[in-house]
Amino acid sequence: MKSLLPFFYLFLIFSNINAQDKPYNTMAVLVFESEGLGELDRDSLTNKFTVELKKTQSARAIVSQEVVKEIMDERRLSDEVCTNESCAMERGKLLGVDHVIIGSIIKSQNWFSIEVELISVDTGSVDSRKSFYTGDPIGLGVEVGLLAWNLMNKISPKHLVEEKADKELEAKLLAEQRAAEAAREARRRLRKAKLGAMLRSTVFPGWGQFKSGRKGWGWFWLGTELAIGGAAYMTFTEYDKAYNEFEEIYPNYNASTDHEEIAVLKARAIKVLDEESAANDQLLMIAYAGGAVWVANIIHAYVSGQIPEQSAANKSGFHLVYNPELKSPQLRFYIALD
Amino acid sequence: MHSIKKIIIICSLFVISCELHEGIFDNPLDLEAAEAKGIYPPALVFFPNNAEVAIQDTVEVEVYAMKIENVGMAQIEVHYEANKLSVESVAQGSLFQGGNQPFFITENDSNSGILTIFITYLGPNGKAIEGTGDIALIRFKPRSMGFTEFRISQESILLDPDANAITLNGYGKGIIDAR
Repeated sequence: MKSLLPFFYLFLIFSNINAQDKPYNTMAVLVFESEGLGELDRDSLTNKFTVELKKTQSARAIVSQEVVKEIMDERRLSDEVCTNESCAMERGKLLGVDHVIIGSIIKSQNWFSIEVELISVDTGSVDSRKSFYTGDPIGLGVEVGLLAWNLMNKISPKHLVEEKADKELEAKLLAEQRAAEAAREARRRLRKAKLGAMLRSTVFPGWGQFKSGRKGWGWFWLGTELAIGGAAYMTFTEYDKAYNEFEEIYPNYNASTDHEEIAVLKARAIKVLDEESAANDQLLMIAYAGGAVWVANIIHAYVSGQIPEQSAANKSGFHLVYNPELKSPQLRFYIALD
Repeated sequence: MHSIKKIIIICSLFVISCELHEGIFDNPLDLEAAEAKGIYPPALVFFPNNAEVAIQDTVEVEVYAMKIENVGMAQIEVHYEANKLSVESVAQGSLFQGGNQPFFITENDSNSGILTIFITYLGPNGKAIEGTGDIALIRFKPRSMGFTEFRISQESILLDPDANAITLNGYGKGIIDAR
């Protein structure tokens, strides 16, 4: 590895000879700081930036990434990423260059923030550029390349601008494709959740609503069915009583040979029969009502579907908790402040 | 499709209602029921007037007088289908039973299917009886399967103690279903 260093110093001396028409003399790009990116991606992007920087022909000599890495390895500094001016000045002196570029690439959810700083090793003055990139990471290389041109205050080459436009279009199409897929998936999930809720409510009224997070409706349907069930039970008791009474009277009526007794038993049997019939009619009506409510509950479970998840910011409520310090239960009210 | 089937099954549970009694009031001694059949007192009827029976079993049917007054004697003719029924025995009922044993004779023509019952009240409390009660108990035995009818003939007569005929307003019928 040390064999490269003499060539590097020769390269710097040679570059000083032709130092007339370029704004910067010697320059080095330090490995960028990164967040949310792998080491390989980070190194690749730093390298891409360096390559593009060379193409700007703004410096007489730019130290290649291999050499920077080798020197940093030699000094056992390769593990430390430079993030401030003093560090940059120190490394610049080590590398023997006039200017050093440090940078950071931060990946947030769907966008990247890229910031580069050109630091004078002698004075510590900083010229900084920042770029935001939204889209697929594939296009990030182009963005980094453009930033190199931008930092050197040079007009970006046409092919890079076109490539950026292509990447943007590609990213847009990809985003649209993903959005369509996400919408399809959301629809599928919604349909599945609705069917699940419907099946649950078919088995047990209100179950689907409970499972979908609509507890109020769940209690409503369950309560209504229970009330109807209670009414049905009471009516059935009346029916059963009349039924059994008739079963008792009718054989006596048939067996009786006394005219008066026959007349009394017949009158009683007719009365009980009317009661039985009335109870049956009522039971039938209640059963229809119960069935209608049940069906309505099933339809409601399907139509209303899953309740959208409440965001943390909207959450508030009461909790009954046990306080171990006081050794007693406590009622807590909580509200999100963000 | 599967969920629709489930819904149908559950809904049909609600449609099924409870069992209801039919309320057929046809006791032969029920005056209203008898009136609906055109039988008015005084009348002679069978009790019970229908029975279901196994082919080898016997059926007991009582001949009842319904709301009779001042009857001293009776001659009752019971017609039955001789090819389908046979008369096993005839016993005297309680209506003509007084302190003295009534005069009670039966005559069964099994070829033509006519059973004749003669009964006379012999006191000692008065010369006649009244009210509703059983005159005789007939034991029939089915000979073949199916429905068979038996009836009290209009030739039957009730007489008062002076041997005057009493008008009867109804003659009962009975059915046996042999299985």
